Amino acid sequence: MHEAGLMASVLEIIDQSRVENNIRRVTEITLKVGVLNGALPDALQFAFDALRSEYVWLDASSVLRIESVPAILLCFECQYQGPGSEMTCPACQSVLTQLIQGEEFDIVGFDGEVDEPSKYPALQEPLGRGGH
Amino acid sequence: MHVDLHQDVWALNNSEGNHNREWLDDHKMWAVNIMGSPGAGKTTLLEHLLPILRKDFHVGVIEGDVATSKDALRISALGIPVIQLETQGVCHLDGRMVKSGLRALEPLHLDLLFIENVGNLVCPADFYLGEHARLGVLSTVEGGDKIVKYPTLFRRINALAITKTDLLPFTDFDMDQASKDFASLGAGRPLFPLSKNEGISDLAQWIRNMALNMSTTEQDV
Repeated sequence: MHEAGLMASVLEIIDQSRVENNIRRVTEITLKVGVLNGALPDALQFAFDALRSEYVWLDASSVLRIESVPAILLCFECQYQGPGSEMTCPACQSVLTQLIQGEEFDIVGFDGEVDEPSKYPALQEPLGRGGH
Repeated sequence: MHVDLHQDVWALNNSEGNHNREWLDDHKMWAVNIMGSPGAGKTTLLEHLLPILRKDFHVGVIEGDVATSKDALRISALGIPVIQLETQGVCHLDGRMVKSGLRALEPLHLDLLFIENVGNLVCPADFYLGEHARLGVLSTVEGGDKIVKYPTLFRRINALAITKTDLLPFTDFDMDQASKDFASLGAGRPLFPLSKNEGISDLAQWIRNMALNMSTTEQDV
């Protein structure tokens, strides 16, 4: 169960990008997770819920969306390209194959609310201390 | 506002692994990552391999465990330098942890390094540590179905040691089936059946050849 650590990495990466983009609240995070990846969607969701309270820019309505990516196998012998989770080609039984998708774990992106510019712009000059 | 990131989450760990690999290559140290279940016999295997390989190499061990330094003490008793990495609950070693282990071993000028991962058939497979090869350890008493049940790990190893084969008569482990299952996850990788008294020299020879040639297996994590 290393999903907690992975989720923490995801949130670290998003935190950095959020600051760069002046986003104060993140409403939705989208991940792409291959079915052969060791990270399980349910456990990722659980980790997200557990970690949510540690970030002020997430709240109870922030959503984690996980797009599952099926495993696709390419066979170098018979050129089969299609579903397959083991390295044996389902068409010709060759093991000269390569997985071309199904192991990824990517942060696709996120949605958030941008910080509104303040109605009271910051003073350009510090207030004079006066002559008291 | 929508932000497109398209960032690989594994990249963070992989870059740590890549740094470790550069460090290992700079120090002419060949490293093998040993993965398998708790109780598969990883430490016992080391206890048998190390006395053979120490004749040809300056050999050291990084021990990963969730808690305690029990395994490190067993290696240390052989007079082999060992660094214990206690993960404090984490189910695998990662690139950052191994980096600290490498730094600690630096003064010893090793040329062969074993990294015994945390006993677990799932998580360790996902974390590239910078190693040159991965050795899987599966014992006959765990049941022969583990290869197909935990394919990621068995797909990502370069060789498989099957331990406790002297217990075959007492288990339902089918060596032919295991061999087929292992081959179905990737061709051309050796399998070493090991019992208390047999098989260890073949495995030691495989490691010796790989280390002497500084063979590098492709990173596929």
